Amino acid sequence: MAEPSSETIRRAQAGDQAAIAALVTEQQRYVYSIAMSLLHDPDEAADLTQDAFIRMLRALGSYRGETKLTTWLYRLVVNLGIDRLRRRGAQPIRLDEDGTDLDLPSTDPADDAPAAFERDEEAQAVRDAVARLPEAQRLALTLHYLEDLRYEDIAEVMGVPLNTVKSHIRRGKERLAVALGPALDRRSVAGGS
Amino acid sequence: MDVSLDDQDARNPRLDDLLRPVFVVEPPPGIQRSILAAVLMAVEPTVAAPSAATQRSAPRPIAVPISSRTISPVAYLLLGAVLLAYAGLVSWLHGVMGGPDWVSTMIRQLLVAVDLLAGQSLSTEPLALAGLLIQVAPWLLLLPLAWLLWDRDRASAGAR
Repeated sequence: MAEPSSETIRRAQAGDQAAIAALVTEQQRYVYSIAMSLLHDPDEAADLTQDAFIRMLRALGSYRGETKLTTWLYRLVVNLGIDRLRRRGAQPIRLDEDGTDLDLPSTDPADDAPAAFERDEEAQAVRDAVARLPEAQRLALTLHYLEDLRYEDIAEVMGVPLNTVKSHIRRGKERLAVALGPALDRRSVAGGS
Repeated sequence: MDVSLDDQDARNPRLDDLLRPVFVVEPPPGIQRSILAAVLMAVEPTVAAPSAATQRSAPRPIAVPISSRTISPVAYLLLGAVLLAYAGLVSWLHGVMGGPDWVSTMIRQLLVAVDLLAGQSLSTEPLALAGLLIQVAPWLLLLPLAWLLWDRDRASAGAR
């Protein structure tokens, strides 16, 4: 994930369609990933992605580079996503809290997740485990996996303190490590052999 | 960066490999194209000149529905019937007022109109010619309406 160059931003601000297209193309997968993390619905995520880009580009003329453009954009996506969830009547998301402890999958080999691995459905099992994370942890991890995004940037995007971000990421990884233990073991064996 | 978190990251590279593809999701190519097209269409006139309106809710790009209304053949037949009836009425009135029978009058008017439009013009002055046309065959005033309907039908058929 590269921050758009200042030249690209300047041209986009001037209305250069090629620069706008480049900006959207570069950032689309990250914006969509954040939207999916919040909404869990491909159609709604696509709609939110489109909405976020339109709003960002319409306000781009007033962008003066005080913050990174990507941080600005991702924060916009998060806010729009939370607005949508609120309109949908969903439980309000508190990004500064860990959220409710959801059903942590057991490490019992008889449970569904390991069985899924045995059936070679690792990816689905991972998605299921991720879906069970509290929203704040899932969003923090999504931003964390957007490659170059630093913890400080994640804190700015989520509007929470830095330590809260670290806590979300650490706890989220711990949960997932427990839930996906068998898959990790298999990878370890496969990597070692 | 938090040290303990770094340590944990170092211990869990496999976890990262497993999770990254799940968290970073690529939208389907069709969705990517449609998002890009919608964004370009929506922002084209406004990027260079931001205003207070940019802070408001951005309207979703609306696909302008192409009119699918067409004019049915029945409508054309009805229009033809109206034109014919109008010409017949005018001709009949002409006959009542002392001229020959209405069919002959109508035929004569049609011939005059054709002659004026396609043959040797009686006048080179456009206004005089138009006045003469209207005087001889007033039903020709309906022709623009017929042309308008035909043109709309053609445009509608072309858009589909």
